[in-house]
Amino acid sequence: MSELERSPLAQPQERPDLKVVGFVCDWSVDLKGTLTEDGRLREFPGVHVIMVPCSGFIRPSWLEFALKNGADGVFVCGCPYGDCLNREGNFLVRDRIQQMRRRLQRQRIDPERVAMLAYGLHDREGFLSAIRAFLDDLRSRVGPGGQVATKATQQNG
Amino acid sequence: MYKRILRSLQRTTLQVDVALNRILPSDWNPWYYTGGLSNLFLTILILSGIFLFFYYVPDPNEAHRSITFITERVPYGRIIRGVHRYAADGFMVAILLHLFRNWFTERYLFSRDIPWISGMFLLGFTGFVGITGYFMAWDDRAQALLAMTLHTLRSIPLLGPWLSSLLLGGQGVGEGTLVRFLFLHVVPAVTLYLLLWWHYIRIRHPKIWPPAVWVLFSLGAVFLLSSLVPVVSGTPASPTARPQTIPLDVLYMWPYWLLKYIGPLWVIALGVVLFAYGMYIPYQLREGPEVMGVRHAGVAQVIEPNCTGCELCYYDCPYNAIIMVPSPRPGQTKAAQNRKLLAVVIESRCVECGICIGACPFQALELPRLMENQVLERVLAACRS
Repeated sequence: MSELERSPLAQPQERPDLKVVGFVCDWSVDLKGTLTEDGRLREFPGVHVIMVPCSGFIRPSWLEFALKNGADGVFVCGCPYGDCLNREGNFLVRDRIQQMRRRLQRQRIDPERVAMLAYGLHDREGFLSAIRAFLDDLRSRVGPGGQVATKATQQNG
Repeated sequence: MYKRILRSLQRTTLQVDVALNRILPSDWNPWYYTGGLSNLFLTILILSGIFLFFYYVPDPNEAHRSITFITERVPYGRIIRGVHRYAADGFMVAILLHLFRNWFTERYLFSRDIPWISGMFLLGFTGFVGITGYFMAWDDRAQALLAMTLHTLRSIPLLGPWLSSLLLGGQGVGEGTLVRFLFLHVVPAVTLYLLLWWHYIRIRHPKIWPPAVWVLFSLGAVFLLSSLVPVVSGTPASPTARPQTIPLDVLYMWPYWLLKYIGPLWVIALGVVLFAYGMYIPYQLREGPEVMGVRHAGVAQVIEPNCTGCELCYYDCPYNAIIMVPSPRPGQTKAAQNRKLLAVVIESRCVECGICIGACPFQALELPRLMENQVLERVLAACRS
């Protein structure tokens, strides 16, 4: 990440209505100081972070629940693959999310609204740039109504 | 002080991870497969060792000749012998990387002290097997090593003479001596597998094999090395030779190298202290989860009426903390009506990571202090804000 992007001058550019719920593992990227009191990322106020004891703790149904209750996107952040403190949590949640994508497609929800990230304790910059990329991708999927399209119409035409 | 050093070492280790992940896909990062790499080298060693065992004659008069025969006459003997030597070095390097990585990233905490303790035994046995391996060649180096070993053993008060005659099988080198060394080389090597069972016992799905690219790379490296830099024996050992300088392999031979500078008793004491400290590492900074500022979510609880006995949590628990027992009565939900099994959490093994909660599609498991309802409430609050 360049110096410019990291500087406080970099404005949060995303629209306030882009709502993202993120589950972050306690042991993965260290977010101390980047969270506001109500659990948003300081740099991206639309991103709400929920800390969990391990990324494997997350039930895919919770991600689905968030998408159906108005979140534009959800993401899970675990430790780098192969480096989970509990050895397997991030692989397991990656597989579970992969299975969930099919389920979402059947329900006509764009599976690209779910992201699986993996960043280690000291890789906050990598994490934040991945969030930026995820938000950019979500924004490109925003439909005419200002919301991310619920139905995967863009893909199927 | 120790804490601060450990903290900075952890930081460095993770930075190396990040740097390697930039170059390689993280599934290939060799840092994550140090244990699997050790196992790969152990397998290479066992296979090449069986090959060498067919031709080796454990007799002081024949040993050196049989190894010359392997090197010069047996097809591929030279290569296999080199592979055995270089894989041993790779084994030690991989084990040490495994040790330091797990030390610096604190992978010995909570319920992971069993792999750590068994790992210290594995390290000790590997060092012993490696050292006895150098006696097999029975050249001038083996002779010098034997002289140093006997010198060290005899310096032990009371037990010394008895130990040295136990090692030699008599007062001096005799017919049985190399049989004893072969025994001390092979049996502890086989014991490594018993220790590995202990190493893996509390680990579900241990990663015991590196990705194919590293298997091929390591195999290629040892084969290439053994053909480019062939292993050679020294001159045959003889009672009249007095070798002055011998090449030493730092990875296995460091105690002998130290003998040059400190007394034999000090070397033994150093080995004992290192081993004892290694065993103490997991307990050195043992603090409760509260002190460490770690979330204390409580031991996972099975919601008995919902459990269908599907075994998903049993397969996914990384610590073997969930066992399936015959169900004493049918469950209450529709899916749980006909269950045969019931999941039970062994509390002493649970580390409260919650992986079983993610595994369970029937809402039959909860962490007491981070229930599904609380998570969903927070999701809703985030969506509505």
